[in-house]
Amino acid sequence: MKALRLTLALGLAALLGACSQPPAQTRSPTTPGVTVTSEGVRHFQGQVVVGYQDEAALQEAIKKLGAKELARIPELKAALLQVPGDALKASRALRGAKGVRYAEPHLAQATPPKDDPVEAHRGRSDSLSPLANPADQILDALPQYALDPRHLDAKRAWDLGFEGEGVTVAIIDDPADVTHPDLAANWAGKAYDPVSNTVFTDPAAWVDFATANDPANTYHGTFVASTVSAPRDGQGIAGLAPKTKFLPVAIFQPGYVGDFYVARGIVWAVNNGAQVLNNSWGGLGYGNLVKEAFDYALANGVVVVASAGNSSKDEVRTPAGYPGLIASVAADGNRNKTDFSTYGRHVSSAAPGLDVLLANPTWLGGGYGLISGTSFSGPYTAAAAALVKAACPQATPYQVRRALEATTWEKSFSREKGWGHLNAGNLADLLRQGCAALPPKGSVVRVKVEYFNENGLFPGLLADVILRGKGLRPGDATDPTPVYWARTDLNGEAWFYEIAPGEYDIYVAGADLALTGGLPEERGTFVGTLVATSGSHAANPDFKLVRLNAAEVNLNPTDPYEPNDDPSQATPIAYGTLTQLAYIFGQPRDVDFFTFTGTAGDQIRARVYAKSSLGGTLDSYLFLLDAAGNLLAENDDLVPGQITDSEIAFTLPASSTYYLVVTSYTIASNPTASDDSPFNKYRLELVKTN
Amino acid sequence: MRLTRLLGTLLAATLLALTGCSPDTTPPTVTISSPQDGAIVNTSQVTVQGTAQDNTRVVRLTYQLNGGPEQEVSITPAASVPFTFSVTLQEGANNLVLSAYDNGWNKGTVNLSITYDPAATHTLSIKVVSENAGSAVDGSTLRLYKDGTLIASALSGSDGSFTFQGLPRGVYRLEAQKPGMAGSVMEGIRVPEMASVTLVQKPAFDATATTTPPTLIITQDGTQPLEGQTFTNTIPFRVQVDTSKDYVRPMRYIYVALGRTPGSAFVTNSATWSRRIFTDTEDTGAQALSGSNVAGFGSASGETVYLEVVAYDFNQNRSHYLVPLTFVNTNPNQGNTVSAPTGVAATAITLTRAVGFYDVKAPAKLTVPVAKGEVGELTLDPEAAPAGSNLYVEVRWCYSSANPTPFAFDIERSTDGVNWERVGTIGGSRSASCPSNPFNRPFYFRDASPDLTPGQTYYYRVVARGANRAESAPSATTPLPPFFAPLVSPADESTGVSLTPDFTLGHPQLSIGADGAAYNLVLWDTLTGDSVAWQTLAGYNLLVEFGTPDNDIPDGEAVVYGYHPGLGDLAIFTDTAGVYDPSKPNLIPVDVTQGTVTLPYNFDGLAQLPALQALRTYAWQLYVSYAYKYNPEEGYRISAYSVQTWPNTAAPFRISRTETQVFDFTTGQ
Repeated sequence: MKALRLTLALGLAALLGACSQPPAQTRSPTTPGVTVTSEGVRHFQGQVVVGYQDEAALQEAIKKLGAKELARIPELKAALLQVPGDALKASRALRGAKGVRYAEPHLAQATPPKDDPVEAHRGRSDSLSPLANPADQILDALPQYALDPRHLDAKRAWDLGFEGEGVTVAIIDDPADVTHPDLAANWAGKAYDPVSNTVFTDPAAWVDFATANDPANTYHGTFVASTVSAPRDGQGIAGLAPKTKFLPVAIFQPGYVGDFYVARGIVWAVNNGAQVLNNSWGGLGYGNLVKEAFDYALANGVVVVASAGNSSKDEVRTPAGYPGLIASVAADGNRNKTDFSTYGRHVSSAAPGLDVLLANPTWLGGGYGLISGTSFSGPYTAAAAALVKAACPQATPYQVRRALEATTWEKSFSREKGWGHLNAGNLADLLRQGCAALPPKGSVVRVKVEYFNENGLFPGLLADVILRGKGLRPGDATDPTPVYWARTDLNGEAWFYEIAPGEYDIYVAGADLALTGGLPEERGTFVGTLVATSGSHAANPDFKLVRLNAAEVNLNPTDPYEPNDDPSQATPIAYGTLTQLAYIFGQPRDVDFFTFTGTAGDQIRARVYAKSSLGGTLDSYLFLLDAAGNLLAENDDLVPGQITDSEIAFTLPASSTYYLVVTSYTIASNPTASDDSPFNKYRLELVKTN
Repeated sequence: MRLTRLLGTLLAATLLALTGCSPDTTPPTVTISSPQDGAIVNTSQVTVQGTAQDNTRVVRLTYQLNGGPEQEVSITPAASVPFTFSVTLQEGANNLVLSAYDNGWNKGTVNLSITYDPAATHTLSIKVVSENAGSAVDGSTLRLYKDGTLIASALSGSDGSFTFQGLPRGVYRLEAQKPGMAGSVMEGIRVPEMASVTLVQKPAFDATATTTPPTLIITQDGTQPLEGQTFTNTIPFRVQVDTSKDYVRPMRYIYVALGRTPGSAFVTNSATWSRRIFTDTEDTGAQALSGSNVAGFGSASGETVYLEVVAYDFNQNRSHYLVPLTFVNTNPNQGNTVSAPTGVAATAITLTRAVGFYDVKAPAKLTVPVAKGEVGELTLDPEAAPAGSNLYVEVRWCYSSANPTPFAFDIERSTDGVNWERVGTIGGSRSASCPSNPFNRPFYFRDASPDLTPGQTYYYRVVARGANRAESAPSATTPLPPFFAPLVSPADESTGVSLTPDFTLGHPQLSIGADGAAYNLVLWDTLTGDSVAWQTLAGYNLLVEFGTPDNDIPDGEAVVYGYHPGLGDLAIFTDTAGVYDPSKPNLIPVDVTQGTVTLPYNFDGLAQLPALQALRTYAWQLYVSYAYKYNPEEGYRISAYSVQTWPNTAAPFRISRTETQVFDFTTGQ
């Protein structure tokens, strides 16, 4: 009975396990061309983003990968490359390359709106003439609880003259409908497709572009745009900043276009007059490129608002968690956090995000519809920011954030709602007092990391930098003390734009071992303090130089068994042996041969210890050949999708000589690809198990 | 000084004099505490209780019954006079006038209408819940109307229930109001056919908005009446919101169904029965119920069935209308000789965090009159569906395609395995498929009755109905209370954490009466990285069982096991008593007394790195967390789950509950 029960339970466990993996971040992609790596990194197949220092470095990287350049963002010194084979593996091959600031797969970790169940499109609402709705919910023609005096209190702000006039808000989203009757008047006149690098000025052409690909799943940006900019014109609804202009940037078409194009879209928006960027999108995981693009916006005084996420969890999602961004929580009709809203120490404030009535694209019937998500609390927040920017164009992003936070209903901090539910009426009362009454400016911090050891001084690439506010009370849900995270680029610099002034503990640790495969003690660490001063700015940031006593990253290791690139050079390996550290390195397509003699019936197990067990970058591949070179067995991953080391268990058919061949997945799977990294390290073990 | 005092004295005297001289023109007031105005009683003798009050004093109290002479009620004169007296009513409507007099010949009167109906002996039990399969709403003001007259009002009790007694046969309207909650109304309650009803009252979307539920106009086509008509196989209908009446725009949903209260598809639809739903509209237009909308209901000769309409406005105000009609169903399967359904498995599912379902499952007694008070009637229990959670039972079964197709499946429930109550009916069907996993069996019904209670054992069976009735073998389940395994350490936002930390979580299995719990722990490296640093057992669940009588592990002992994808086999990580592994492994330490389990970092060897990186921030969470209970009598089938966290809509739960604690921590140097 016991055994039976356990077996039953096992059957179920296996079943459930299969259902429970992989985590949300790594779920099956729904966008064509998007793939998921063994580590769960969702990205575009065969695309790598490279941050370069100069043209020569970029060309060297292109040559090394055998890549083709697809596009470039000069402002960020970033290029998108098409590589043969696996993007993650290719990006790792660039690690340590001179003049490369960073290299990463073309990330696609953001969830397209169409795949977010919270934000599912419900269709339009017809015949919404007001009835029982209180008169104060009718700002234009239809009832909008979000704007009434018990929520955002929009009319009080408008009556005081704060309507966002003169401010352009970029709607970084799926393509917003610039022809919607309740939006057309406030279109900024330009719209951008970052993939083709096309600026549209003709509404019909933009709609053609927007609807070219799956129009049924292209609606989100229109709802978002109307949250901000729907005019007060006696029809339909009004946005919270009804005199702003909106600037559409299409980053969902309707799948996510990838971090590279998002970054290009952000830069375009900044260069084309946006003072506020609304980002009703997000995902998990740090991406250098998008972070740098937002840094570019912040450095230019542009306010960046991001939705906290719809994960229901107390967690940091990106981009909401990047330093300097204003993260928005979705509130319900009673000004409480909605069940679905992501929340946490990093969030700024809350705004209506449950069943808000917004504009529905004309290509889906037009009119208006109800919709929910932090995607809509975000643009209400962006609109509130626009009210500030209209009144005080010189206000810094941090001042805008604090102005919003200081005028909420609650004016007290909780992780559930940040500083509370926005109140535009209160905000207007502050703005009436003039721009000098705005809260103090924030800080810009630049941390430069260097590694030093007996061999010299090296840029502190791929380091973690954490700024943790002094006096932070761990786990206290009412403590607003901030924490910021950033990663250094391959120059060794980490930037924190528009953060709270104050004293911080600073934690710095060197090169990410998951990438370099170094030993834990080689990481190098620093703990100290840093003061961020109000008013420091991009041109004159608070600066901290951190030198880590870190082991030199060995870019030219020695493989004790080389040359062993063919059967004639094969290194003998006996049963019960574990080799020294060896490398798939030194040539574009390194293949290492080992040989042993076995007896018929021997059950052998050969295991490669590589990235999954030693660290480093080698996703190993193992072959077993007979004396004539015939393939007997091969293995890529010990556990598909989890342990990328390789193992072969095999019963020898004859007493003879055999070969074990170690290489990388990239080389094994693609006859033209190269994989040549000093971090491609492994050890091979051979045992007889019978 | 003296002058001032004098003046004060003078003024006081004047005031007194004025008061004394003024004539008293204020009449007394009479308040009746019982019976309620409009009440219907089933005895001729009625005790009237109340209080008469006056600014001076009440000196006389009289009553007149049905226009008769004034009758004196004996009182002791006072400013406030409580009174009690009895009257004998005539059958039918009675009018009682009470008059109170004071010294100044002022007279205050009050009228009381009471109906004496000797047949008013019926009861109506109300249960107010916040959502389908959800928790009770207490302290809600219930108002019961008959023929437009308020005849009784009451507050729902702590378990959300109240029973109106002494009701005459008739058609009733029930309203519920509570501050902070939306309004809810049920129209067309038939007493005594419907002895108990469930009223869903959701939290108001905006507590400051109106709580008047929408008024519906339900017809065949906008003009032809629906109620009381006879239809064959197809029921035309049109539902319109009366836009001249109060409610909050826009409308959210209008649901229409035959034979069951419609609501969220997850809870109310099944493989062979479905309801209609109309979103964001005030007028469904001309529609019809047919096919799977009517499967299993009616008969060839016609049967009274209720068409049910549920509508929610923007403020979550809810209207529920019950419309009786005669339904003729000519489906030839009614003539089939049917066999018993097989593979019936009832599994209780408790969701720790409520979903927010729209609407409630209706007991079958709403559709076909079922005599109340029969044995097997479940008592209302205050512990049903704990606050903030959902509790329902999923019944799944097979019906072989080798047999003739039944007309209907009736789902029946019992607390003793002897006396059965029908909880639902769906259309009959058959299938060649009968998977060994109960959750994949082709036919299902989700019982979300509000009285399902953790700890109570329920038996379910499925009856195939055709020319005959064929009852399945029963299946039992005992629902679990909500389960919540708290993260303990590393604590949220802690620093200086070991590079190979132990992850400790609370394991309250024993305290909720479960036989084990399943976990999947995920460690994100997404603050400065972009991947999963570790997912225990590569996504397969870790099963933790502390000893109970039903899991065959000795009291005070524990077994921790799971499928290890590296081994390709089951692995026993901890076995304190050596039940399965005599070597008594202890890879995952447990504390049975404290109720904790500790997962050492990388215990399974499946982490990305052998140790975490120094001074890096990670975040950990339970990606899967649920408790389960075995049913030894049914081959140790898991018969109850209590789900804290489930990441997707895959089986067995088919509904994601992704809210979970997430603790971030930063490693030390």
